[in-house]
Amino acid sequence: MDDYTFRVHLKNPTPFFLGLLSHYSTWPVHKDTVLKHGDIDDRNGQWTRPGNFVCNGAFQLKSWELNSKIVVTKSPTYWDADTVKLNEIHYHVTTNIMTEDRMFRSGQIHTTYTLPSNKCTAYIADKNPALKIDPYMGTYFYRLNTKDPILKDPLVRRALAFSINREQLVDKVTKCGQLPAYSFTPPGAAGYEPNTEISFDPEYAKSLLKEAGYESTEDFPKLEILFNTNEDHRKIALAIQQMWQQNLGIDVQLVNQDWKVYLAREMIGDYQVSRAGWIGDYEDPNTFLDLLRPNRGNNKTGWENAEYDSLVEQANTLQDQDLRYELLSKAENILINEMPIIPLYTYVRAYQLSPDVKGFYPNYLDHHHPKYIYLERD
Amino acid sequence: MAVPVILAVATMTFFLVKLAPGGPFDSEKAVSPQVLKNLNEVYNLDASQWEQYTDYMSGLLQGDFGPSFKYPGRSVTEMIGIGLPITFELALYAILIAVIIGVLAGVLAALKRNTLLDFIPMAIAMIGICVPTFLMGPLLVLIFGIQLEWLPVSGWGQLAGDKILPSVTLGFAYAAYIARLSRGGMLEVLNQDFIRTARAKGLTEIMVVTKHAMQGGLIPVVSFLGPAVAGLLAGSFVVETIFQIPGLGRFYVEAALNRDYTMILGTTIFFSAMIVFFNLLSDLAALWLNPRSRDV
Repeated sequence: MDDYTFRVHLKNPTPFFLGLLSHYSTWPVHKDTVLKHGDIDDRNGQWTRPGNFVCNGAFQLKSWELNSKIVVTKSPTYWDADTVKLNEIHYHVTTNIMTEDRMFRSGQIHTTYTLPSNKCTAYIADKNPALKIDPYMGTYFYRLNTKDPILKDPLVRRALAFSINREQLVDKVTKCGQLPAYSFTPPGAAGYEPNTEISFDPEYAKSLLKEAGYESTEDFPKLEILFNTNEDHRKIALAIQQMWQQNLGIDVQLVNQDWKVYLAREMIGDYQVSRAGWIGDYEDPNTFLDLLRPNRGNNKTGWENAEYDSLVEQANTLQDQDLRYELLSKAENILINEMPIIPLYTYVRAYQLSPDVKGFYPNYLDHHHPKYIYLERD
Repeated sequence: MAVPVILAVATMTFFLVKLAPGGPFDSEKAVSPQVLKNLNEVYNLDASQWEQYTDYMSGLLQGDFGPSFKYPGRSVTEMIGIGLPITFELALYAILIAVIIGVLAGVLAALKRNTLLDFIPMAIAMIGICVPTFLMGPLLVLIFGIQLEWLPVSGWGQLAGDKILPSVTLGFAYAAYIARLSRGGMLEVLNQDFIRTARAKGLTEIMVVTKHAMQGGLIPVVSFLGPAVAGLLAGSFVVETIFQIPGLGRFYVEAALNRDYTMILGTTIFFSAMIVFFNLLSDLAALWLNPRSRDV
């Protein structure tokens, strides 16, 4: 509307619109700078390099050593420059989480992004003051291919879900403060509390399987769990394999594939059960429930439900948050009833943070504005 | 021979990488079909295999490795330019450490055969051969980086002394091989007549060893060095990952995982050229050192 204001016309009231705007996909870029170095749709051209890059953030890009380090310095022209206390931030590109852990332990870095899972248990036992385990809006789940001849039956899908002991999974396998998940949307996202239940009930699960026509478990064909090569995914798959074998008496095979093969197989539906995870983009149940609407690229289960679709659609036309959550909760119940996905646990953010770092607060989306962070020794 | 070998490597790699399932643009969050189509168009992946091959090869002959898929906006040539000097420097330090320690230990062991000066270095060499770098690296880091706090645990050229641990880790494994090779070579030569003659002439032991024995005794080491340098360059991936070094070895392996076709091709072609070159170099050096093959 003028140099500093713009107007957005929304089709729906979209109560989570502000949240959407804080997602990095809506951050502004400097048009003239982009055009100076190439075309407007050139996402990674010369305009992103140090010296060329122009941004409106609290820090500006100083150097970028590929695969090594990104350095940003405090921007003198930032609108709220007085609040900014750090002079520079160094981001180390680290592909190996063990290296990251060693860098932290030797004092080379102030915080880590993540933590090797076996270290987490050790640090909890040692009461390591640098260990942080914060709530995180993410769900670890298994996708079920509903186009598969066995898994197209919701009874079978429910039997699989009800024979998993989630408490045991987080206590004995993941062991880093994760929470058992009984809904797809993590509880507490912007006040939304899903009321779905997936109890651990092997007897009920067995009866479901019987109802589906598998009188004896020997009739049940072999199932395959697909996961991308990773020690943690393997451990979880082993536990689930064990639970299904013990509680339902069915044969389960584990298939691990490298990342790209795993993605390709999931995309074309060449799997039966596949491990997955989803992290919320904004703090609203819609970021989860939208995923399983028909024709969503990330659905990948082949599951379509018209009622579910219309409930989610309808919820987004409403302004009244209570009414909205009521509809979304109904949709969530349909989802858990039909079980195209099996929720396993709610993620946590486990990382290490030096006691010298102040102004770094946990939040559900794990967003940390660097302008509030500072260093101070107690 | 070198050029056809490299061309054959390029051709085979080109078709093999396309056989691997998954593509460079597969990602966790699905890409819309239209976007995927545009991407394939931009990177010429919608053309026929043969067309892509001839395009790539004609570019290659002009020294153009094409754009990287994983690092958009950067060419493979640029990426090799970033990674190569680092990997080269790492390999250079490692090979220096390997040669100095390896030859010293090996020659000493051969001269003091069946004494403690033979047994101890050879036992350490055996450990060096057996312990893989992915164990040696973290062990050295634990001792010198975290316990003693003498050296940084990662990085390359960012903190003082951060090049020491990776170079030692990489060099140590090769030092062990070189120690055993030079001991064997020296033992063989030390028993020969011309050494007895040299001693009979009244030459000092140092002269006998350095002037006469080492020249012949170290031929196996020289022949080993060519493939070793090539192996160091291409195999530095593990050390580069442990120590977070932005070298070419990491680009090489990550390119394969990312299905970054042009990057896989570029680095493979580059490394095979290196291997061919260093093998040739070590053949020539061995030829020059060995008087018997010089006369032929």
